[in-house]
Amino acid sequence: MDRFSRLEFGDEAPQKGPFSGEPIRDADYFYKEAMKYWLGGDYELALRNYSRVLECDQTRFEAWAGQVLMLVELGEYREANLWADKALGFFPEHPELLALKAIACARDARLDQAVAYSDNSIAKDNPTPWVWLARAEVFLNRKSPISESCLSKAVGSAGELAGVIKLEAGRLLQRKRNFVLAAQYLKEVVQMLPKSALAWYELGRCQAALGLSDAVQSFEQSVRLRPGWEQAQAELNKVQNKGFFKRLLGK
Amino acid sequence: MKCARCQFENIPGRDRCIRCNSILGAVGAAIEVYPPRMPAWRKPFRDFMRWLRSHRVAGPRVATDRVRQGLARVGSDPFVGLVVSVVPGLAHLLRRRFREVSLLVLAWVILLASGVFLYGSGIGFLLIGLAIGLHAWIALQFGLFKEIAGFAERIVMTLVIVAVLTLLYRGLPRLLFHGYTGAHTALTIPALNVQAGDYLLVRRMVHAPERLPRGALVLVHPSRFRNSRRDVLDDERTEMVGQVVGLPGETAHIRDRVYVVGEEVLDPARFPVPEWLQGQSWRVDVPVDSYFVSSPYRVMGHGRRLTDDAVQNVSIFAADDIRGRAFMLWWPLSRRGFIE
Repeated sequence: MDRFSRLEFGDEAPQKGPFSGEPIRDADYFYKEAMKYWLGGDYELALRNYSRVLECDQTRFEAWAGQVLMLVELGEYREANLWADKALGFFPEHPELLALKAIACARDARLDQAVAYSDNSIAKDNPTPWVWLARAEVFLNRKSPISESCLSKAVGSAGELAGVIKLEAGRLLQRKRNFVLAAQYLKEVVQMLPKSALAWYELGRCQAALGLSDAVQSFEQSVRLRPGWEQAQAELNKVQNKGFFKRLLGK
Repeated sequence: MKCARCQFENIPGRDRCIRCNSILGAVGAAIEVYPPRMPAWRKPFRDFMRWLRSHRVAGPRVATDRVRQGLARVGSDPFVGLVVSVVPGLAHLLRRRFREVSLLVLAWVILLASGVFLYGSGIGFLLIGLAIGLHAWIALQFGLFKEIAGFAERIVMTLVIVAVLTLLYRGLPRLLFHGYTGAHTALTIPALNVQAGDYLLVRRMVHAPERLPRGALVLVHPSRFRNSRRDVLDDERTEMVGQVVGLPGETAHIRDRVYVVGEEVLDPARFPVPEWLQGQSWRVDVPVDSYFVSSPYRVMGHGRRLTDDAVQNVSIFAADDIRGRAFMLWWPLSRRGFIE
Protein backbone atom coordinates (compact mmCIF):
# COMPACT_ATOMS: atom_id res chain seq x y z
CA MET A 1 0.00 0.00 0.00
CA ASP A 2 1.50 3.33 -0.97
CA ARG A 3 1.32 6.39 1.22
CA PHE A 4 -1.34 8.28 -0.82
CA SER A 5 -3.77 5.50 -1.34
CA ARG A 6 -6.20 6.63 1.38
CA LEU A 7 -6.38 10.25 0.24
CA GLU A 8 -9.74 11.56 -1.09
CA PHE A 9 -9.90 13.43 -4.40
CA GLY A 10 -13.35 15.03 -4.92
CA ASP A 11 -16.44 12.84 -5.68
CA GLU A 12 -14.87 10.45 -8.15
CA ALA A 13 -15.18 6.85 -7.01
CA PRO A 14 -12.16 4.67 -7.52
CA GLN A 15 -12.38 2.64 -10.79
CA LYS A 16 -12.99 -1.05 -10.26
CA GLY A 17 -11.03 -3.57 -12.18
CA PRO A 18 -12.76 -6.30 -14.19
CA PHE A 19 -12.32 -8.95 -11.48
CA SER A 20 -12.70 -6.88 -8.36
CA GLY A 21 -15.70 -7.44 -6.05
CA GLU A 22 -19.22 -8.59 -7.05
CA PRO A 23 -20.03 -9.05 -10.74
CA ILE A 24 -22.36 -6.49 -12.28
CA ARG A 25 -25.83 -8.04 -12.37
CA ASP A 26 -26.94 -6.83 -15.74
CA ALA A 27 -28.78 -8.55 -18.57
CA ASP A 28 -25.63 -10.24 -19.83
CA TYR A 29 -24.89 -11.66 -16.42
CA PHE A 30 -28.38 -13.12 -16.01
CA TYR A 31 -28.30 -14.43 -19.55
CA LYS A 32 -25.09 -16.30 -18.83
CA GLU A 33 -26.61 -17.64 -15.65
CA ALA A 34 -29.70 -18.79 -17.53
CA MET A 35 -27.58 -20.58 -20.12
CA LYS A 36 -25.57 -22.18 -17.36
CA TYR A 37 -28.68 -23.52 -15.65
CA TRP A 38 -30.20 -24.64 -18.91
CA LEU A 39 -27.12 -26.63 -19.85
CA GLY A 40 -27.18 -27.97 -16.32
CA GLY A 41 -30.71 -29.25 -16.83
CA ASP A 42 -32.23 -26.94 -14.22
CA TYR A 43 -35.03 -25.44 -16.26
CA GLU A 44 -36.77 -23.68 -13.39
CA LEU A 45 -33.73 -21.62 -12.49
CA ALA A 46 -32.97 -21.02 -16.14
CA LEU A 47 -36.50 -19.68 -16.64
CA ARG A 48 -36.12 -17.40 -13.63
CA ASN A 49 -32.86 -16.01 -14.96
CA TYR A 50 -34.31 -15.42 -18.40
CA SER A 51 -37.05 -13.41 -16.71
CA ARG A 52 -34.39 -11.38 -14.92
CA VAL A 53 -32.72 -10.69 -18.24
CA LEU A 54 -35.99 -9.22 -19.44
CA GLU A 55 -36.34 -7.17 -16.28
CA CYS A 56 -33.06 -5.54 -17.25
CA ASP A 57 -33.63 -5.40 -21.00
CA GLN A 58 -36.95 -6.17 -22.63
CA THR A 59 -35.44 -6.07 -26.10
CA ARG A 60 -33.39 -9.21 -25.61
CA PHE A 61 -34.97 -11.67 -28.00
CA GLU A 62 -32.85 -14.56 -26.72
CA ALA A 63 -34.44 -14.19 -23.30
CA TRP A 64 -37.98 -14.32 -24.68
CA ALA A 65 -37.11 -17.36 -26.76
CA GLY A 66 -35.31 -18.91 -23.80
CA GLN A 67 -38.38 -18.49 -21.62
CA VAL A 68 -40.57 -20.21 -24.20
CA LEU A 69 -38.06 -23.04 -24.55
CA MET A 70 -37.83 -23.53 -20.79
CA LEU A 71 -41.61 -23.70 -20.51
CA VAL A 72 -41.57 -26.36 -23.21
CA GLU A 73 -38.87 -28.27 -21.33
CA LEU A 74 -40.97 -28.06 -18.17
CA GLY A 75 -43.89 -29.61 -20.06
CA GLU A 76 -46.05 -26.48 -19.88
CA TYR A 77 -46.94 -26.37 -23.53
CA ARG A 78 -50.00 -24.17 -23.38
CA GLU A 79 -48.15 -21.60 -21.31
CA ALA A 80 -45.25 -21.79 -23.75
CA ASN A 81 -47.62 -21.06 -26.62
CA LEU A 82 -49.19 -18.20 -24.72
CA TRP A 83 -45.82 -16.69 -23.91
CA ALA A 84 -44.61 -17.13 -27.48
CA ASP A 85 -47.67 -15.19 -28.61
CA LYS A 86 -46.74 -12.42 -26.23
CA ALA A 87 -43.16 -12.43 -27.51
CA LEU A 88 -44.49 -12.32 -31.07
CA GLY A 89 -46.14 -9.04 -30.10
CA PHE A 90 -42.67 -7.57 -29.63
CA PHE A 91 -41.01 -9.50 -32.46
CA PRO A 92 -43.73 -9.99 -35.06
CA GLU A 93 -43.45 -13.04 -37.28
CA HIS A 94 -40.11 -13.99 -35.79
CA PRO A 95 -39.28 -17.40 -37.30
CA GLU A 96 -37.64 -18.74 -34.13
CA LEU A 97 -40.70 -17.95 -32.03
CA LEU A 98 -42.88 -19.64 -34.61
CA ALA A 99 -40.53 -22.61 -34.55
CA LEU A 100 -40.76 -22.77 -30.77
CA LYS A 101 -44.54 -22.73 -31.04
CA ALA A 102 -44.24 -25.61 -33.49
CA ILE A 103 -42.14 -27.55 -30.96
CA ALA A 104 -44.64 -26.83 -28.17
CA CYS A 105 -47.53 -28.02 -30.34
CA ALA A 106 -45.65 -31.11 -31.50
CA ARG A 107 -44.89 -32.16 -27.94
CA ASP A 108 -48.47 -31.44 -26.94
CA ALA A 109 -49.61 -33.89 -29.63
CA ARG A 110 -51.18 -31.14 -31.75
CA LEU A 111 -49.50 -32.16 -34.95
CA ASP A 112 -51.61 -30.20 -37.40
CA GLN A 113 -50.90 -26.94 -35.60
CA ALA A 114 -47.22 -27.87 -35.27
CA VAL A 115 -46.95 -28.41 -39.02
CA ALA A 116 -48.68 -25.09 -39.68
CA TYR A 117 -46.31 -23.16 -37.39
CA SER A 118 -43.30 -24.97 -38.80
CA ASP A 119 -44.40 -24.19 -42.37
CA ASN A 120 -44.84 -20.56 -41.38
CA SER A 121 -41.44 -20.33 -39.75
CA ILE A 122 -39.61 -22.01 -42.63
CA ALA A 123 -41.24 -19.63 -45.10
CA LYS A 124 -39.35 -16.66 -43.62
CA ASP A 125 -35.96 -15.53 -44.93
CA ASN A 126 -32.80 -17.24 -43.72
CA PRO A 127 -34.19 -19.96 -41.48
CA THR A 128 -32.12 -20.33 -38.33
CA PRO A 129 -30.96 -23.67 -36.87
CA TRP A 130 -33.85 -23.60 -34.40
CA VAL A 131 -36.29 -23.42 -37.28
CA TRP A 132 -34.74 -26.50 -38.87
CA LEU A 133 -34.65 -28.25 -35.51
CA ALA A 134 -38.35 -27.60 -34.96
CA ARG A 135 -39.11 -28.87 -38.43
CA ALA A 136 -37.09 -32.01 -37.74
CA GLU A 137 -39.07 -32.61 -34.56
CA VAL A 138 -42.40 -32.12 -36.31
CA PHE A 139 -41.50 -34.52 -39.10
CA LEU A 140 -39.99 -37.03 -36.70
CA ASN A 141 -43.38 -37.12 -34.99
CA ARG A 142 -44.91 -37.90 -38.35
CA LYS A 143 -42.22 -40.51 -39.00
CA SER A 144 -41.23 -38.73 -42.18
CA PRO A 145 -37.74 -39.21 -43.68
CA ILE A 146 -37.54 -35.43 -44.27
CA SER A 147 -36.60 -35.09 -40.61
CA GLU A 148 -33.06 -36.38 -41.24
CA SER A 149 -32.26 -33.66 -43.77
CA CYS A 150 -33.81 -31.06 -41.46
CA LEU A 151 -31.52 -32.22 -38.66
CA SER A 152 -28.46 -32.02 -40.90
CA LYS A 153 -29.45 -28.53 -41.99
CA ALA A 154 -29.92 -27.48 -38.37
CA VAL A 155 -26.50 -28.79 -37.40
CA GLY A 156 -24.90 -27.47 -40.57
CA SER A 157 -26.18 -23.93 -40.07
CA ALA A 158 -25.51 -23.86 -36.32
CA GLY A 159 -22.19 -21.97 -36.46
CA GLU A 160 -21.37 -20.72 -32.98
CA LEU A 161 -24.42 -22.50 -31.58
CA ALA A 162 -23.17 -25.90 -32.74
CA GLY A 163 -22.88 -27.27 -29.20
CA VAL A 164 -26.40 -26.29 -28.18
CA ILE A 165 -27.99 -27.33 -31.47
CA LYS A 166 -26.25 -30.69 -31.44
CA LEU A 167 -27.36 -31.17 -27.85
CA GLU A 168 -30.95 -30.51 -28.82
CA ALA A 169 -30.63 -32.72 -31.89
CA GLY A 170 -29.24 -35.53 -29.75
CA ARG A 171 -32.03 -35.13 -27.22
CA LEU A 172 -34.61 -35.14 -29.96
CA LEU A 173 -33.23 -38.36 -31.42
CA GLN A 174 -33.00 -39.86 -27.97
CA ARG A 175 -36.69 -39.12 -27.36
CA LYS A 176 -37.49 -40.84 -30.64
CA ARG A 177 -35.41 -43.84 -29.55
CA ASN A 178 -32.74 -43.41 -32.24
CA PHE A 179 -30.07 -43.99 -29.62
CA VAL A 180 -27.14 -44.68 -31.94
CA LEU A 181 -27.34 -41.39 -33.82
CA ALA A 182 -28.22 -39.54 -30.64
CA ALA A 183 -25.15 -40.89 -28.89
CA GLN A 184 -22.97 -39.76 -31.82
CA TYR A 185 -24.28 -36.21 -31.54
CA LEU A 186 -24.04 -36.15 -27.77
CA LYS A 187 -20.46 -37.40 -27.76
CA GLU A 188 -19.54 -34.39 -29.86
CA VAL A 189 -21.53 -32.18 -27.52
CA VAL A 190 -19.73 -33.29 -24.37
CA GLN A 191 -16.46 -32.40 -26.07
CA MET A 192 -17.76 -28.96 -27.01
CA LEU A 193 -19.61 -28.34 -23.73
CA PRO A 194 -17.80 -30.45 -21.17
CA LYS A 195 -19.38 -28.57 -18.27
CA SER A 196 -22.93 -29.31 -19.36
CA ALA A 197 -24.49 -31.74 -16.90
CA LEU A 198 -27.47 -32.08 -19.23
CA ALA A 199 -25.31 -33.25 -22.12
CA TRP A 200 -23.60 -35.88 -19.96
CA TYR A 201 -26.93 -36.99 -18.59
CA GLU A 202 -28.50 -37.39 -22.02
CA LEU A 203 -25.40 -39.18 -23.30
CA GLY A 204 -25.63 -41.51 -20.32
CA ARG A 205 -29.25 -42.29 -21.10
CA CYS A 206 -28.39 -43.16 -24.69
CA GLN A 207 -25.50 -45.33 -23.59
CA ALA A 208 -27.67 -47.04 -21.00
CA ALA A 209 -30.33 -47.73 -23.62
CA LEU A 210 -27.64 -49.21 -25.90
CA GLY A 211 -26.34 -51.35 -23.05
CA LEU A 212 -22.96 -49.63 -22.93
CA SER A 213 -21.07 -49.59 -19.66
CA ASP A 214 -19.85 -46.04 -20.41
CA ALA A 215 -23.22 -44.88 -19.15
CA VAL A 216 -21.92 -45.11 -15.58
CA GLN A 217 -19.12 -42.64 -16.27
CA SER A 218 -21.48 -40.30 -18.09
CA PHE A 219 -23.97 -40.25 -15.23
CA GLU A 220 -21.17 -39.87 -12.69
CA GLN A 221 -19.84 -36.89 -14.60
CA SER A 222 -23.34 -35.46 -14.75
CA VAL A 223 -23.78 -35.80 -10.99
CA ARG A 224 -20.33 -34.34 -10.42
CA LEU A 225 -21.19 -31.27 -12.47
CA ARG A 226 -24.56 -30.81 -10.82
CA PRO A 227 -24.46 -32.32 -7.35
CA GLY A 228 -27.78 -33.38 -5.96
CA TRP A 229 -29.49 -33.85 -9.33
CA GLU A 230 -32.00 -36.51 -8.42
CA GLN A 231 -32.78 -37.66 -11.95
CA ALA A 232 -29.15 -38.27 -12.82
CA GLN A 233 -28.51 -39.93 -9.48
CA ALA A 234 -31.48 -42.23 -9.98
CA GLU A 235 -30.28 -43.16 -13.46
CA LEU A 236 -26.80 -43.77 -12.11
CA ASN A 237 -28.13 -46.06 -9.41
CA LYS A 238 -30.21 -47.90 -11.96
CA VAL A 239 -27.24 -48.43 -14.28
CA GLN A 240 -24.90 -49.47 -11.50
CA ASN A 241 -27.30 -52.16 -10.36
CA LYS A 242 -27.67 -53.68 -13.78
CA GLY A 243 -26.06 -56.83 -15.09
CA PHE A 244 -24.62 -57.14 -18.56
CA PHE A 245 -27.62 -58.80 -20.15
CA LYS A 246 -30.07 -56.38 -18.66
CA ARG A 247 -28.02 -53.51 -20.00
CA LEU A 248 -27.74 -55.23 -23.35
CA LEU A 249 -31.47 -55.69 -23.58
CA GLY A 250 -32.03 -52.16 -22.36
CA LYS A 251 -34.36 -53.29 -19.58
CA MET B 1 -30.60 2.79 -33.89
CA LYS B 2 -29.80 -0.50 -35.54
CA CYS B 3 -32.40 -3.27 -35.26
CA ALA B 4 -30.87 -6.39 -33.76
CA ARG B 5 -33.08 -8.62 -35.85
CA CYS B 6 -33.00 -7.15 -39.37
CA GLN B 7 -29.99 -4.81 -39.01
CA PHE B 8 -32.03 -1.89 -40.32
CA GLU B 9 -30.73 1.53 -39.27
CA ASN B 10 -33.72 3.29 -37.68
CA ILE B 11 -34.21 6.94 -36.78
CA PRO B 12 -33.13 7.58 -33.17
CA GLY B 13 -36.00 7.70 -30.65
CA ARG B 14 -38.18 5.04 -32.28
CA ASP B 15 -39.59 2.21 -30.15
CA ARG B 16 -40.00 -0.23 -33.01
CA CYS B 17 -38.10 -1.04 -36.17
CA ILE B 18 -39.59 0.47 -39.32
CA ARG B 19 -38.83 -2.65 -41.34
CA CYS B 20 -39.65 -5.62 -39.09
CA ASN B 21 -41.62 -3.93 -36.25
CA SER B 22 -39.42 -5.49 -33.56
CA ILE B 23 -38.94 -3.49 -30.38
CA LEU B 24 -35.81 -1.37 -30.31
CA GLY B 25 -35.84 -0.05 -26.76
CA ALA B 26 -37.74 -0.41 -23.54
CA VAL B 27 -41.46 0.16 -24.08
CA GLY B 28 -43.08 2.95 -22.13
CA ALA B 29 -45.45 0.90 -19.98
CA ALA B 30 -44.15 -1.75 -17.61
CA ILE B 31 -44.61 -5.23 -19.07
CA GLU B 32 -44.91 -8.55 -17.33
CA VAL B 33 -41.73 -10.55 -17.82
CA TYR B 34 -42.63 -13.57 -15.72
CA PRO B 35 -44.55 -16.14 -17.77
CA PRO B 36 -47.76 -17.79 -16.55
CA ARG B 37 -47.26 -21.21 -14.96
CA MET B 38 -49.31 -24.36 -14.99
CA PRO B 39 -50.84 -25.39 -11.64
CA ALA B 40 -49.54 -28.81 -10.59
CA TRP B 41 -53.04 -30.29 -10.34
CA ARG B 42 -53.63 -29.73 -14.03
CA LYS B 43 -50.67 -31.83 -15.12
CA PRO B 44 -52.34 -35.29 -14.96
CA PHE B 45 -55.39 -34.02 -16.85
CA ARG B 46 -53.26 -32.47 -19.56
CA ASP B 47 -51.10 -35.58 -19.75
CA PHE B 48 -54.21 -37.69 -20.19
CA MET B 49 -55.62 -35.43 -22.91
CA ARG B 50 -52.24 -35.44 -24.65
CA TRP B 51 -52.19 -39.21 -24.47
CA LEU B 52 -55.63 -39.33 -26.07
CA ARG B 53 -54.59 -36.91 -28.79
CA SER B 54 -51.37 -38.73 -29.54
CA HIS B 55 -53.18 -42.03 -29.95
CA ARG B 56 -55.85 -40.50 -32.11
CA VAL B 57 -53.24 -38.85 -34.29
CA ALA B 58 -50.78 -41.69 -34.41
CA GLY B 59 -53.33 -44.45 -34.87
CA PRO B 60 -54.29 -44.23 -38.52
CA ARG B 61 -50.95 -42.72 -39.54
CA VAL B 62 -48.76 -45.49 -38.26
CA ALA B 63 -51.20 -48.19 -39.27
CA THR B 64 -50.01 -50.92 -41.55
CA ASP B 65 -50.79 -50.83 -45.23
CA ARG B 66 -53.47 -53.45 -44.87
CA VAL B 67 -55.30 -51.42 -42.25
CA ARG B 68 -54.92 -48.35 -44.43
CA GLN B 69 -56.41 -50.17 -47.36
CA GLY B 70 -59.22 -51.36 -45.15
CA LEU B 71 -59.92 -47.85 -43.99
CA ALA B 72 -59.86 -46.60 -47.55
CA ARG B 73 -62.38 -49.27 -48.46
CA VAL B 74 -64.68 -48.13 -45.68
CA GLY B 75 -64.70 -44.74 -47.35
CA SER B 76 -65.08 -45.88 -50.92
CA ASP B 77 -67.53 -48.75 -50.46
CA PRO B 78 -70.80 -47.70 -48.85
CA PHE B 79 -71.80 -51.28 -48.12
CA VAL B 80 -68.61 -51.93 -46.16
CA GLY B 81 -69.27 -48.66 -44.38
CA LEU B 82 -72.74 -49.91 -43.61
CA VAL B 83 -71.36 -53.05 -42.00
CA VAL B 84 -68.89 -51.03 -39.94
CA SER B 85 -71.80 -48.82 -38.89
CA VAL B 86 -72.98 -51.62 -36.63
CA VAL B 87 -71.39 -49.32 -34.09
CA PRO B 88 -73.12 -45.98 -34.82
CA GLY B 89 -70.66 -43.43 -36.19
CA LEU B 90 -67.70 -45.82 -36.38
CA ALA B 91 -67.53 -45.65 -40.18
CA HIS B 92 -67.59 -41.85 -39.99
CA LEU B 93 -64.93 -41.91 -37.28
CA LEU B 94 -62.61 -44.07 -39.35
CA ARG B 95 -62.95 -41.66 -42.23
CA ARG B 96 -62.48 -38.67 -39.90
CA ARG B 97 -65.97 -37.43 -40.63
CA PHE B 98 -67.38 -38.05 -37.18
CA ARG B 99 -68.30 -34.42 -36.73
CA GLU B 100 -71.02 -34.82 -39.36
CA VAL B 101 -72.92 -37.29 -37.20
CA SER B 102 -71.66 -36.43 -33.72
CA LEU B 103 -74.99 -34.94 -32.64
CA LEU B 104 -76.91 -37.90 -34.03
CA VAL B 105 -74.63 -40.30 -32.17
CA LEU B 106 -75.10 -38.28 -28.99
CA ALA B 107 -78.88 -38.44 -29.46
CA TRP B 108 -78.62 -42.20 -30.06
CA VAL B 109 -76.68 -42.68 -26.83
CA ILE B 110 -79.24 -40.64 -24.89
CA LEU B 111 -82.18 -42.52 -26.44
CA LEU B 112 -80.61 -45.91 -25.84
CA ALA B 113 -79.64 -45.12 -22.25
CA SER B 114 -83.12 -43.75 -21.50
CA GLY B 115 -84.69 -46.79 -23.17
CA VAL B 116 -82.65 -49.18 -21.07
CA PHE B 117 -83.44 -47.20 -17.94
CA LEU B 118 -87.16 -47.34 -18.66
CA TYR B 119 -87.06 -50.87 -20.11
CA GLY B 120 -90.17 -52.86 -19.44
CA SER B 121 -92.49 -49.92 -19.97
CA GLY B 122 -94.08 -48.73 -23.18
CA ILE B 123 -91.96 -45.59 -23.14
CA GLY B 124 -88.81 -47.68 -22.77
CA PHE B 125 -89.67 -49.80 -25.79
CA LEU B 126 -90.56 -46.68 -27.76
CA LEU B 127 -87.21 -45.04 -26.93
CA ILE B 128 -85.30 -48.15 -27.94
CA GLY B 129 -87.28 -48.25 -31.17
CA LEU B 130 -86.32 -44.63 -31.83
CA ALA B 131 -82.69 -45.48 -31.06
CA ILE B 132 -82.85 -48.25 -33.67
CA GLY B 133 -84.33 -45.83 -36.19
CA LEU B 134 -81.62 -43.27 -35.47
CA HIS B 135 -78.96 -45.94 -35.74
CA ALA B 136 -80.32 -46.91 -39.14
CA TRP B 137 -80.32 -43.28 -40.20
CA ILE B 138 -76.67 -42.85 -39.13
CA ALA B 139 -75.72 -45.98 -41.04
CA LEU B 140 -77.58 -44.84 -44.12
CA GLN B 141 -75.95 -41.44 -43.95
CA PHE B 142 -72.68 -43.09 -44.81
CA GLY B 143 -72.86 -42.80 -48.55
CA LEU B 144 -75.61 -45.34 -49.16
CA PHE B 145 -78.13 -42.68 -50.06
CA LYS B 146 -75.71 -41.40 -52.66
CA GLU B 147 -75.51 -44.83 -54.24
CA ILE B 148 -79.24 -45.52 -54.29
CA ALA B 149 -81.19 -42.89 -56.18
CA GLY B 150 -84.73 -44.31 -56.37
CA PHE B 151 -87.20 -43.45 -53.63
CA ALA B 152 -88.68 -46.94 -53.43
CA GLU B 153 -85.24 -48.53 -53.29
CA ARG B 154 -84.29 -46.22 -50.49
CA ILE B 155 -87.39 -47.13 -48.51
CA VAL B 156 -86.76 -50.85 -49.03
CA MET B 157 -83.12 -50.46 -48.03
CA THR B 158 -84.10 -48.50 -44.94
CA LEU B 159 -86.60 -51.17 -43.92
CA VAL B 160 -84.03 -53.91 -44.45
CA ILE B 161 -81.51 -52.09 -42.31
CA VAL B 162 -84.08 -51.42 -39.58
CA ALA B 163 -85.00 -55.11 -39.59
CA VAL B 164 -81.36 -56.16 -39.36
CA LEU B 165 -80.74 -53.70 -36.56
CA THR B 166 -83.83 -54.87 -34.69
CA LEU B 167 -82.50 -58.41 -34.79
CA LEU B 168 -79.15 -57.11 -33.66
CA TYR B 169 -80.67 -55.18 -30.77
CA ARG B 170 -82.53 -58.30 -29.71
CA GLY B 171 -79.59 -60.63 -30.08
CA LEU B 172 -76.73 -58.54 -28.77
CA PRO B 173 -78.07 -58.02 -25.22
CA ARG B 174 -78.66 -61.76 -24.96
CA LEU B 175 -75.07 -62.31 -25.95
CA LEU B 176 -73.69 -59.65 -23.62
CA PHE B 177 -75.94 -60.42 -20.65
CA HIS B 178 -76.10 -64.12 -21.22
CA GLY B 179 -76.95 -65.03 -17.64
CA TYR B 180 -79.82 -62.54 -17.30
CA THR B 181 -83.23 -61.99 -18.78
CA GLY B 182 -86.43 -60.18 -17.96
CA ALA B 183 -90.12 -61.03 -17.79
CA HIS B 184 -93.43 -59.44 -16.99
CA THR B 185 -95.21 -61.09 -14.10
CA ALA B 186 -98.91 -61.85 -13.73
CA LEU B 187 -98.54 -62.32 -9.97
CA THR B 188 -99.66 -59.88 -7.32
CA ILE B 189 -97.85 -60.42 -4.02
CA PRO B 190 -98.53 -57.60 -1.56
CA ALA B 191 -95.83 -58.67 0.91
CA LEU B 192 -93.15 -58.41 -1.81
CA ASN B 193 -94.62 -55.24 -3.29
CA VAL B 194 -95.02 -57.02 -6.62
CA GLN B 195 -98.05 -56.42 -8.80
CA ALA B 196 -99.35 -57.94 -11.99
CA GLY B 197 -97.69 -56.32 -15.01
CA ASP B 198 -94.41 -55.53 -13.27
CA TYR B 199 -91.20 -56.20 -15.15
CA LEU B 200 -88.72 -58.37 -13.26
CA LEU B 201 -85.06 -59.04 -13.93
CA VAL B 202 -84.23 -62.73 -13.74
CA ARG B 203 -80.90 -64.46 -13.21
CA ARG B 204 -80.88 -67.53 -15.41
CA MET B 205 -80.02 -70.92 -13.96
CA VAL B 206 -77.87 -73.15 -16.10
CA HIS B 207 -78.11 -76.10 -13.75
CA ALA B 208 -80.97 -77.20 -11.52
CA PRO B 209 -80.91 -75.30 -8.22
CA GLU B 210 -79.91 -77.32 -5.17
CA ARG B 211 -82.81 -76.05 -3.13
CA LEU B 212 -85.02 -73.06 -3.72
CA PRO B 213 -86.56 -71.30 -0.73
CA ARG B 214 -90.32 -71.11 -0.33
CA GLY B 215 -91.62 -67.87 -1.79
CA ALA B 216 -88.89 -67.46 -4.42
CA LEU B 217 -90.09 -65.98 -7.71
CA VAL B 218 -88.94 -68.23 -10.52
CA LEU B 219 -89.12 -68.29 -14.29
CA VAL B 220 -90.75 -71.42 -15.65
CA HIS B 221 -91.55 -72.72 -19.10
CA PRO B 222 -95.17 -73.87 -19.51
CA SER B 223 -94.27 -76.06 -22.49
CA ARG B 224 -92.48 -78.26 -20.02
CA PHE B 225 -95.77 -79.20 -18.36
CA ARG B 226 -96.23 -82.84 -18.06
CA ASN B 227 -98.50 -84.98 -20.20
CA SER B 228 -102.18 -84.20 -20.54
CA ARG B 229 -101.48 -80.53 -19.83
CA ARG B 230 -103.47 -79.43 -22.85
CA ASP B 231 -106.72 -80.52 -21.31
CA VAL B 232 -106.21 -77.96 -18.56
CA LEU B 233 -103.97 -75.18 -19.75
CA ASP B 234 -104.96 -72.52 -22.24
CA ASP B 235 -101.78 -70.49 -21.96
CA GLU B 236 -99.53 -69.70 -24.87
CA ARG B 237 -96.84 -67.87 -22.99
CA THR B 238 -93.41 -69.44 -23.45
CA GLU B 239 -91.96 -68.32 -20.17
CA MET B 240 -93.72 -66.98 -17.11
CA VAL B 241 -93.00 -65.99 -13.55
CA GLY B 242 -94.34 -68.13 -10.72
CA GLN B 243 -93.88 -68.45 -6.98
CA VAL B 244 -92.43 -71.47 -5.26
CA VAL B 245 -95.03 -72.65 -2.72
CA GLY B 246 -94.37 -76.32 -2.15
CA LEU B 247 -90.89 -77.78 -1.71
CA PRO B 248 -89.81 -81.32 -2.70
CA GLY B 249 -91.50 -84.03 -0.65
CA GLU B 250 -94.20 -81.75 0.81
CA THR B 251 -97.96 -81.99 0.42
CA ALA B 252 -99.86 -78.88 -0.63
CA HIS B 253 -103.59 -78.21 -0.53
CA ILE B 254 -105.92 -75.28 -0.09
CA ARG B 255 -108.12 -74.41 2.86
CA ASP B 256 -110.33 -71.30 3.11
CA ARG B 257 -108.60 -69.76 0.05
CA VAL B 258 -105.21 -70.08 1.75
CA TYR B 259 -102.35 -72.41 0.88
CA VAL B 260 -101.57 -75.10 3.40
CA VAL B 261 -98.27 -76.94 3.02
CA GLY B 262 -97.98 -79.95 5.28
CA GLU B 263 -99.61 -78.57 8.42
CA GLU B 264 -98.34 -75.02 7.92
CA VAL B 265 -100.86 -72.37 6.88
CA LEU B 266 -99.14 -69.87 4.60
CA ASP B 267 -99.63 -66.12 4.90
CA PRO B 268 -102.00 -65.11 2.04
CA ALA B 269 -100.26 -61.72 1.74
CA ARG B 270 -97.02 -63.50 0.94
CA PHE B 271 -98.46 -66.55 -0.82
CA PRO B 272 -101.62 -65.43 -2.62
CA VAL B 273 -103.74 -68.15 -4.21
CA PRO B 274 -104.40 -67.53 -7.94
CA GLU B 275 -107.95 -67.21 -9.09
CA TRP B 276 -108.04 -70.48 -10.99
CA LEU B 277 -107.24 -72.45 -7.83
CA GLN B 278 -109.65 -70.67 -5.56
CA GLY B 279 -112.84 -72.52 -4.70
CA GLN B 280 -111.26 -75.80 -5.70
CA SER B 281 -110.56 -78.76 -3.51
CA TRP B 282 -107.33 -80.57 -4.23
CA ARG B 283 -104.31 -82.08 -2.58
CA VAL B 284 -100.99 -82.49 -4.33
CA ASP B 285 -97.87 -84.38 -3.26
CA VAL B 286 -94.73 -82.64 -4.52
CA PRO B 287 -92.31 -85.26 -5.89
CA VAL B 288 -88.63 -85.25 -5.00
CA ASP B 289 -86.63 -82.86 -7.27
CA SER B 290 -89.81 -80.93 -8.08
CA TYR B 291 -91.54 -77.80 -6.83
CA PHE B 292 -95.12 -76.61 -6.56
CA VAL B 293 -95.05 -73.31 -8.47
CA SER B 294 -98.06 -71.07 -8.09
CA SER B 295 -98.93 -68.83 -11.00
CA PRO B 296 -102.13 -67.32 -12.44
CA TYR B 297 -102.32 -69.53 -15.52
CA ARG B 298 -105.22 -69.26 -17.87
CA VAL B 299 -106.99 -72.62 -17.66
CA MET B 300 -109.55 -74.13 -19.97
CA GLY B 301 -113.15 -74.28 -18.84
CA HIS B 302 -112.86 -71.55 -16.25
CA GLY B 303 -114.74 -72.41 -13.06
CA ARG B 304 -114.96 -76.13 -13.66
CA ARG B 305 -113.86 -78.51 -10.96
CA LEU B 306 -110.25 -79.57 -11.25
CA THR B 307 -108.93 -82.94 -10.28
CA ASP B 308 -105.79 -83.39 -8.19
CA ASP B 309 -104.03 -84.71 -11.29
CA ALA B 310 -104.94 -81.61 -13.30
CA VAL B 311 -103.53 -79.32 -10.62
CA GLN B 312 -100.44 -81.48 -10.31
CA ASN B 313 -99.88 -81.49 -14.06
CA VAL B 314 -99.96 -77.71 -14.24
CA SER B 315 -98.29 -76.62 -11.01
CA ILE B 316 -95.57 -79.16 -10.43
CA PHE B 317 -92.24 -78.39 -12.12
CA ALA B 318 -89.13 -80.51 -12.10
CA ALA B 319 -86.13 -78.57 -10.78
CA ASP B 320 -84.54 -78.84 -14.25
CA ASP B 321 -87.46 -76.97 -15.77
CA ILE B 322 -86.98 -73.89 -13.65
CA ARG B 323 -85.19 -71.42 -15.91
CA GLY B 324 -84.20 -68.70 -13.50
CA ARG B 325 -84.89 -66.75 -10.38
CA ALA B 326 -86.13 -63.15 -10.26
CA PHE B 327 -83.88 -60.86 -8.24
CA MET B 328 -84.95 -57.34 -9.10
CA LEU B 329 -88.11 -55.40 -9.81
CA TRP B 330 -87.14 -53.14 -12.73
CA TRP B 331 -90.44 -51.52 -13.68
CA PRO B 332 -92.31 -49.49 -12.51
CA LEU B 333 -89.68 -47.00 -11.53
CA SER B 334 -91.39 -46.05 -8.27
CA ARG B 335 -91.00 -49.59 -6.92
CA ARG B 336 -87.64 -50.42 -8.49
CA GLY B 337 -85.48 -52.44 -6.15
CA PHE B 338 -84.15 -55.85 -5.26
CA ILE B 339 -86.58 -58.58 -4.31
CA GLU B 340 -85.93 -59.97 -0.89
